[in-house]
Amino acid sequence: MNKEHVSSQFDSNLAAIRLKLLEMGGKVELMVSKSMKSIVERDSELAEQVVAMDAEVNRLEMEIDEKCLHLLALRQPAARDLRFVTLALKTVVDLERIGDECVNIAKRAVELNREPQLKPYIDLPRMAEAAASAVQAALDAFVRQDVQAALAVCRADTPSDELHDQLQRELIGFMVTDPAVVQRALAISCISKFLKRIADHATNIAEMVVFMVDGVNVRHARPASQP
Amino acid sequence: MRSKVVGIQSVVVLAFAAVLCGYEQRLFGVGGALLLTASIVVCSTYLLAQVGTRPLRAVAAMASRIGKGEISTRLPAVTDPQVAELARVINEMAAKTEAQLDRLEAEKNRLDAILRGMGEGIMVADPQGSITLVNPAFKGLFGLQDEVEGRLLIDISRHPALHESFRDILSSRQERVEELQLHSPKERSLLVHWVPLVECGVVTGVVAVFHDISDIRQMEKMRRDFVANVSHELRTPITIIKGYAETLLAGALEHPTQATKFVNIMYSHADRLASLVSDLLTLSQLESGAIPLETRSVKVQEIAEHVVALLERKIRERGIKVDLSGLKGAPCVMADPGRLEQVIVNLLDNAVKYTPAGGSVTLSATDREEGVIIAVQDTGIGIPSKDLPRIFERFYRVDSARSRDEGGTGLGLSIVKHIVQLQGGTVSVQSNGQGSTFFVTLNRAESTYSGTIAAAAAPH
Ligand SMILES: Nc1ncnc2c1ncn2[C@@H]1O[C@H](COP(=O)(O)OP(=O)(O)OP(=O)(O)O)[C@@H](O)[C@H]1O
Ligand SMILES: [Mg+2]
Repeated sequence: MNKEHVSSQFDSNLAAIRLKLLEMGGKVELMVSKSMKSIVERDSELAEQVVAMDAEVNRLEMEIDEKCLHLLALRQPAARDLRFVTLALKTVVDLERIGDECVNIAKRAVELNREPQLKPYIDLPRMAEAAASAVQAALDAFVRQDVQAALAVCRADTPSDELHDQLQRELIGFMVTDPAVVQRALAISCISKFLKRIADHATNIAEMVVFMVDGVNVRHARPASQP
Repeated sequence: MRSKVVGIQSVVVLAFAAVLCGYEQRLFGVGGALLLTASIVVCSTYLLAQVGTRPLRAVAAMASRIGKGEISTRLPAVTDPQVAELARVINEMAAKTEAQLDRLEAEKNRLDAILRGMGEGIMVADPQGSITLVNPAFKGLFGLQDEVEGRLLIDISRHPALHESFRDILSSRQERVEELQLHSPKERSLLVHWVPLVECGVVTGVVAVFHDISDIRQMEKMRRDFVANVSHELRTPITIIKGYAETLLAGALEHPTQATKFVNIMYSHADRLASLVSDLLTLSQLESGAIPLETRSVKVQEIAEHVVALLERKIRERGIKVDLSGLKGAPCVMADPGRLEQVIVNLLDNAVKYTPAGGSVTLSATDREEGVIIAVQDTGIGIPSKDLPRIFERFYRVDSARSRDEGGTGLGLSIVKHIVQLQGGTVSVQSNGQGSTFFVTLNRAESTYSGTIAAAAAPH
């Protein structure tokens, strides 16, 4: 992190937080990909795995939180290091939420897999793909401290919204024509919403990366007003 | 490897330094003594200084060049016996070191070549998780372009299983082999061989060898699917036939109208069973090359007309228009007529089966340099692009429920592909939501390419 830091203890604390954060990110990425596979491949066993992984992610959140607070209290980091710790504290929340959304998806998957497939899943995998790559791109931007890549993640959340709206319209069509499918259509609708939220959390993470590297807050800012 | 060479270099430099220091101290002693007697024999002091320090300085300068890496530098001969001895020792050391370095360099090059040429990905990391060595295959598997050495494992891949194993190997110090399912940058199955590096009871790093077994897993899955599919396809008609036979035995035979109905159902399922078994048999014969092919010059149009006559009822029931005008005047192809008929039956059957009423199917032939391209084009439901690459696989069906309702087994296209390939041809498919087109390319019977295009609809 900060090369001028004299205290190697401090640096190794920061490095440990960074390592844990990325490990947590890796777990969450796997949850995203498994939860979606559990739907597309109708594999409820994968869904169970996702649910089981959540506990581990929650544990990591607490661990990182604790490490950050400890560092804040004992070392009073400044400037970029402080921004890094801020990022870590906020990002674990987003990552943990993504994990929760994956659990939600997995639970719906188990429900859906018990019944015949309502329709071929086309938009859903696309949305999942978009959400998964947003999470991946945000974490990659963090690894490389790449502001441009992070800003790209912030800008890219619109296609996911479009797919979501399109899918909602299609599902309403299904529900109107056949009341028997309402349950399943609603489940798919929820999954679409969960995926949208995952993409939103990825955007939050990307914004924090910009903040950490540049010290600029891009949240609530329109793209035009970005430096 | 590099750090080892650097290490040896610095040892060499240190050794030189030690030798030189010893000599200089002794020389200072000599110099001191000389200074004491300087007032007595100025001349001899001068002389000694001439023969003593000048060559020594030269020796020092050369040694320092050797130390800096110009390892092939050698000291010139000097007259002073003491300095000559020093020069000889240094020269010997330099020569030995040079040989050593050459050997190391050669070894390193050989290792580099091996690592580069290996299909397996290799990664070496220190206990802190910092990567010290990878080969190109590793970078390929993990989709890495930039320099990897010196970066942290977590920055290269966040896959949880990778880090869990890494930590486990560090603490257990046990070798192990396990499978890793990568999902990024591509779905891959890797077999990973983990080996801890232990030197004098201390773990100094971890070596991991990654073997890509995706193809093997894929093939295993296909074989499993095949067996499962065959059993499933066979079981359905057998269960039905058995059920009705039991009902008949239980008394239904006494009621002629019922009995006739049941026997009819049994007959249709036995028929399906027979066609399934014959398809399977055909496939296995095609695969083992046991079917003799009698290729001769064949008119595509004649065969197609015959096929349309065979499928006439189905085509009429479905309300599909079949257009053969694109085959008029098509050049003859080299094929086994019976087999070519089988190919066209399968393609036309599919086209009719997967096209809603009112649609049309168009057959055409194009004369091209590479052969005659027969196209079967329909206006049906089309094939999603994600299924296109697998459509010719055995039992592969886009929508298995729908296809099975139609009495399909998913073997038709794989039979088509086999037959065509056995005759030296190729098959391909295009679909864009507005129906599908299957292409079969076969060798022309006349050896010269006339260049006349027989059909209007040429594939793009
Ligand atoms: N013309 C077509 N239009 C749309 N889909 C097609 C077409 N031809 C083939 N397919 C798809 O490809 C799959 C495989 O075709 P294939 O002919 O191998 O099997 P099948 O028709 O299901 O069974 P059968 O063994 O009885 O031919 C079909 O199940 C269908 O989904
Ligand atoms: Mg078929």
